[in-house]
Amino acid sequence: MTELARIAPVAVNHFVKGEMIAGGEANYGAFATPALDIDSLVWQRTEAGPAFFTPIAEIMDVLVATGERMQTDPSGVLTEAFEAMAQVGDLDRGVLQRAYELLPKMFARDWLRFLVEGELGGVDILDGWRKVTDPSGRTAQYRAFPPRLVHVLAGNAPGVAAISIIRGALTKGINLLKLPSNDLFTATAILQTMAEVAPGHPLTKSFSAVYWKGGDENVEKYLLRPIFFDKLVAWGGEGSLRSAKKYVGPGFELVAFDPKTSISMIGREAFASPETLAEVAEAAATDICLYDQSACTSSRFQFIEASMEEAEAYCELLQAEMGKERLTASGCGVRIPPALREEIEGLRALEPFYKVWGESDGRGVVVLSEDPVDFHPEAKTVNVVVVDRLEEAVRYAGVATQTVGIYPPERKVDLRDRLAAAGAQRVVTLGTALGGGVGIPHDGFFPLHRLVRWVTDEC
Amino acid sequence: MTARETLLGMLHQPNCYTMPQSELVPLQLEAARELLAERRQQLPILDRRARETGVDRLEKLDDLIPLLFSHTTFKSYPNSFVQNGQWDRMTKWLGTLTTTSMDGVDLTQVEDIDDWVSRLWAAGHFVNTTSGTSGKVSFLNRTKGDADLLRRYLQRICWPEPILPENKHHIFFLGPRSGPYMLLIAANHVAEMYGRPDSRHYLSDDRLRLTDITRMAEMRLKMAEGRATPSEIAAAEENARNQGVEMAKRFSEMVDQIIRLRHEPMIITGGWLQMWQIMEAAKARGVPNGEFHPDTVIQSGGGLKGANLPADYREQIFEFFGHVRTQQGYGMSEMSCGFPMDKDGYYHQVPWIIPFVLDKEGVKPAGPREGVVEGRYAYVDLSNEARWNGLITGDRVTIDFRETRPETRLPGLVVHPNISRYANIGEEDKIGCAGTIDAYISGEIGA
Repeated sequence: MTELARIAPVAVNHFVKGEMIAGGEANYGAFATPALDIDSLVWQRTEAGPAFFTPIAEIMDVLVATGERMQTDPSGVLTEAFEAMAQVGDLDRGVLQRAYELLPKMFARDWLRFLVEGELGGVDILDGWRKVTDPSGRTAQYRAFPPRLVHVLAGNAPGVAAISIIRGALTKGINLLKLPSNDLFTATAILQTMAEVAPGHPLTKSFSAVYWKGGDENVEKYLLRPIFFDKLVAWGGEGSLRSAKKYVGPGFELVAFDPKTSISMIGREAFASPETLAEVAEAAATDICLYDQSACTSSRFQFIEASMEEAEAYCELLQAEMGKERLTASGCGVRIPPALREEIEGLRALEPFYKVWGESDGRGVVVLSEDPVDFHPEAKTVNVVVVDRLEEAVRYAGVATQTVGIYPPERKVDLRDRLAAAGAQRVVTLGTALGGGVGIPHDGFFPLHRLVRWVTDEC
Repeated sequence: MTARETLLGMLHQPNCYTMPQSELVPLQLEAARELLAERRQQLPILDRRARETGVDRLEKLDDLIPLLFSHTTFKSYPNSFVQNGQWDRMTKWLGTLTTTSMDGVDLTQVEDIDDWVSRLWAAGHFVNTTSGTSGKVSFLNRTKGDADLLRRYLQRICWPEPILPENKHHIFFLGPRSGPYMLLIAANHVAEMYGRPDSRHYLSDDRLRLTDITRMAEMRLKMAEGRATPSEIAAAEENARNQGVEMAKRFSEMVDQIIRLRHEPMIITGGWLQMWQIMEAAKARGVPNGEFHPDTVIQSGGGLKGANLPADYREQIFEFFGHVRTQQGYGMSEMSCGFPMDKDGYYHQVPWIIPFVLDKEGVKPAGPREGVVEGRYAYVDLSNEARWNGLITGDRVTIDFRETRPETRLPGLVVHPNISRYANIGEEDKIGCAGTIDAYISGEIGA
């Protein structure tokens, strides 16, 4: 028996249509949830959703009030969720704490407005109809109509729960959130806070957040049907996407935030002076260590225009920077999985073809090579690959590439179209990979635009 | 005589597989100390691990746990070495895991990975290989001494009432004739020692080529870099299917031969699914149960690889073959030899292999080394001369450390028959937004 199994399972609450549900009937070993009543998780199509006709201004008021209450957290809901996450989650306590501190800001009114303006081109279209006339003189009105959504959340960063609730609320539709086993608390805590500021409000009644084991046919086969829901919104997780595919068909669409990987490109300009190189190393480490490298945005490969000697100097600085605590990174809070450690040890023995800086102590490992390594760098491990010209490195970008961080920023203009052609989705200045994705395209589309149902009235 | 020599000297002694822990453990601990001191001198990678984890003196067997490798170690070479034909680098890589010098390996005009392996064998590095679905091949080095031990181990099969090698059996091996796989190497030893020189039959007379396996890895890389064309992907998938058709034809021919010779002693080696198929084909041709010669040996093992057979498939298979002999064991390509199965279906410890039961994560012991313990299987094999052979596996096992128990007639440490696999990381419902190109390569290539 493992140590984990001897401890009593952690109690996880459900949130169903505005009400908190407690109870530990369903035991998953490390945690226990209330028994799942699948009938309670659907909203019949015979009725409109609770907030379908609530004005968007009122929705935003509730969200803003929710964010303000999250900031002060008078009933300790968020603190409790944070403590539970710190106990069982995978993120370092400090990283998690700072991530939680950022959550209320996401609910600020100017951000909500920016999101809707950017992703839908205006707030009006959520409450009413926008009129257009085509060249033949025929007129049409169209509207972003509230959808029925199932969200399969990712748990590697608590912001995923927050942005899913925000977008789900702004659609005015109905939202069933399927919790991941690596974040069983954040979404429920935010929804509970919403229920405290607006008890019985149509918006809180439009949300449920529950856990079932991803792929559980006894649940998914009956819930994931077009008679109940319009779209499945899935965050990453190859397993969850494959499972979701089984249910996608006419009337039930997949909106996928695909699993992604990110890279960096560093031009010769980084070696202009020792000070510049130090700044570049700091920016690069910031992008690598996002959420201790658990996010799709975290950089894993860095292509650098340098000689081997120059690259060695850079790697040494980079490894030192990776050991520093940052907003979204611990100093030494991650454990390198054994298989990865052995990959690294294998390469360490292959000098001079490969050079390795750092130990498996969580302070970061840098592997320098002429070709990218075969394994997936994680747990604060980065592969620095020497290239003659950054343009050559474009071939390493593909359909799985999300963010490409570039130094210096002037090189972006030349590289961005080539990267996009290869499949990459997002180009940033090195060091700024965190943030964004709200009010602008994310993972290749405008999320709110994809979530709503576009309906027309024509004549 | 060193403790290690004493343990290896137990092979084929009457109590080889039934020693109580109280007698075995002190010898194993002493042998592990001797071996670790020697291997740390020879292998910087092990020495570094020992220093990093602070393992200096072995007070008890569990002190070896931080020094266990995962299977990754034996395929930690960069794929680019193979793809770019950098055999000198591959040789250097293998050298970092090998106790003996790699200097004598002739690398002139090596064309592909099969050539490279042949050159290694020619220089006395009898590597055996394994490969997973990724197409990346593991290389496990063996000295002549390691190879000889396997041969000696196979001089008696069907423990606890072994048969002797007398070149009187027909040999039916349901796989390729040769190749650097442990199963094929062992099958060749068995054929040579037990088989009639005039009657040795294989599913394919070709040598199993690693190039065919690495080609799949190359294809994956091409797809990841977006260089593959649709017809190349189709060709790769069709190639895999065609091989299957050819194999089915040859298999049917072998079944005919097996049925014809069923009244004479033979050794049939293959997977359980193949045994099932032989039974079905024979029954369809009207062969009744129990017609096979009593000295016939059924050698099988492994899982069903997704095949859907009834729960009592083994009983049905043996009912069909009748009163024949069987050789089954629990092992893996990385171990020097398997734990032989007794007549009650339990697998008995080989004295020079120290088994461990770890927690699910493979970090700590799942419990004290006593009674019955369930968890992840790991081991240190004290026999290997060419490498440090301590490994954490993906198998979930139950090990009974007691000297005796009601379930088995023979004493000694045993592994229960209920062996299964642990779910891979990522199958635990932990969802993150980070992913790799692997998610985008689907179909037979990506499976």
